[in-house]
Amino acid sequence: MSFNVLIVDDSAAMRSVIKRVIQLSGFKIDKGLEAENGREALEVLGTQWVDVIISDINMPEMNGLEMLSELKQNSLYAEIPIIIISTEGSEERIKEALALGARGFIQKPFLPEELRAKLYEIIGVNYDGQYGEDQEDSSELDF
Amino acid sequence: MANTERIKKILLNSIFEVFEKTFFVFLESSEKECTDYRWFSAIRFFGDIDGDLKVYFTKGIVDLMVTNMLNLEHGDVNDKLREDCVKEATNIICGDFLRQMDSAKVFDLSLPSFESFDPALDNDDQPNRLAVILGANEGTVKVVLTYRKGF
Repeated sequence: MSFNVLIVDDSAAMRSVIKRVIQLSGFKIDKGLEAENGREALEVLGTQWVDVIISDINMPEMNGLEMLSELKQNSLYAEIPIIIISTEGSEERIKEALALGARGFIQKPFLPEELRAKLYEIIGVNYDGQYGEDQEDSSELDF
Repeated sequence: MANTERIKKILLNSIFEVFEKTFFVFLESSEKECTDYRWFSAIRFFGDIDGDLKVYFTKGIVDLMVTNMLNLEHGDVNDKLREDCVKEATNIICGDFLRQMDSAKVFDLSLPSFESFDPALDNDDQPNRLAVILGANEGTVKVVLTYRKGF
């Protein structure tokens, strides 16, 4: 079973890393969608079905918390699981993100295993237990 | 431990952690000042304590960061990728440092800038300024923390 993921981060390099971690973790991506900020993410959501959103907070135009707030108010999007991956990790900020509907909060810098575990927790039914087509099972993801 | 020493220790921890986890670069502390920084990135933070973090990079270290982070060949590195990685490094170091200093405090961060290095901008006369230099075989990084009001 494959799924559509929307990765929201103003760093193209970070979007690429997150996408690679998901793929190496054995989650099959149907569409790997990307947005540079919350505003772009809302535009993508208007045209594509998305199963899970992975978003940064500190972004231009519309930050991740503002995007969460918008999504929470829209019944079409309110149930999409969202994982925040951010440098901002104060206790207050984490509470704020979770109160706005985020299902998980990962602090940068993060290990690939942290994202894999959070994805498994949230969309575990899609996890096929393999680490890429040509790789043996391993407790660590090999970059 | 004096406050300045504590701040320096936490700052170094953050830098090591970010470079190892995000860029797979293993730095060592250095006492040697470098003269060939190519770029720098700056980020401001606001909260109970206001300040900024500037990070200076040589070309060698940035190219290593890009190739490692994105699993690229050396020839695939371009200026857009360099800027992206430099800004992301500065952003993550600042966030990690502030969280390690006091996770109960909330800080707002600016978006990181990216500029060519100008030695005239590296003013070491400012109060509450703390600088650390780190290196790997491929190049050098210098991180300068300046803050108003004490931690």
